[in-house]
Amino acid sequence: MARPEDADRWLVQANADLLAANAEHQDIAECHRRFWIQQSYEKAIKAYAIIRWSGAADDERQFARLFLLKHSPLKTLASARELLPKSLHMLSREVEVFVRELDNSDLLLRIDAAEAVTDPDQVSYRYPFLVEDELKAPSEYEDWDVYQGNRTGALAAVRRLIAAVRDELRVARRRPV
Amino acid sequence: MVTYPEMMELVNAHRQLDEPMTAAIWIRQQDHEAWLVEILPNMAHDEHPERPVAFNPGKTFRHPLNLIAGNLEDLRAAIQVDQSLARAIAEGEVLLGEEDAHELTRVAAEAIHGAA
Repeated sequence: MARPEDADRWLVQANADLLAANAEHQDIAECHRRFWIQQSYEKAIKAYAIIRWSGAADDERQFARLFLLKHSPLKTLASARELLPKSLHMLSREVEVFVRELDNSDLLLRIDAAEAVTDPDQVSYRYPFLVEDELKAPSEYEDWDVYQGNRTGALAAVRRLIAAVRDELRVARRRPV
Repeated sequence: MVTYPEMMELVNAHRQLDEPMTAAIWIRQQDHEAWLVEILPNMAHDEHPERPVAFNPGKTFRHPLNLIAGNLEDLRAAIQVDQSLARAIAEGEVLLGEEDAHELTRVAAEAIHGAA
């Protein structure tokens, strides 16, 4: 069962991913940074959901399968609302409210929607894709700002998200059991 | 104690989501936990909308939240069989959506009087 205490470990990884995204090394390509930014965002938002989640035990497996283990968690939930247990549907609204109240929420939602797609017609930070009919490796692609927003802005937005979730966790830890 | 401004802030945040919400009623206002009824017209049919979805408190909303959400038809049906919910809604405070909210309070009042 997901517990608020677990959120701390997700935040640790969110922070580690963000540090990797910002690391200085000549062999780190922009696609790697973009992937880590997305991963950092994703773990932070999952930590927030764990803090707020109070769903029934019956829904716990769905919470893990449809949210905790999913890429693009908000986009995934929004696209499957009719099929979701009610608790997850309501959770997706609460999480979205939280994101929308943060600075640069548009950028965070863009990061959420960035997927590691295998369709060669779409930009991917993991798999080769077509640019003007020519197959490019993600490491060769340069137009990442269009895909996921300005890197500095994306890093700052995720950094603020992690700080906001950490604040939420502080409150959750003070809660009587 | 849950306060009116806190509930309004929550309802205003919910109404800004893409999913339409036509009414919100704050019920059980004396409870130390927050209880909110929301009408979501696009919500799929739910046999038991009266069963709340619970959320842990956080920094932005500091109280445990019990959310009773459903489409108007399902909530109307639930009120007719659940006297506790009918009483809570009849005594609740409408925070959003006069028309749909008053339809629920009207059905709630009828359910209470019908049972009396």
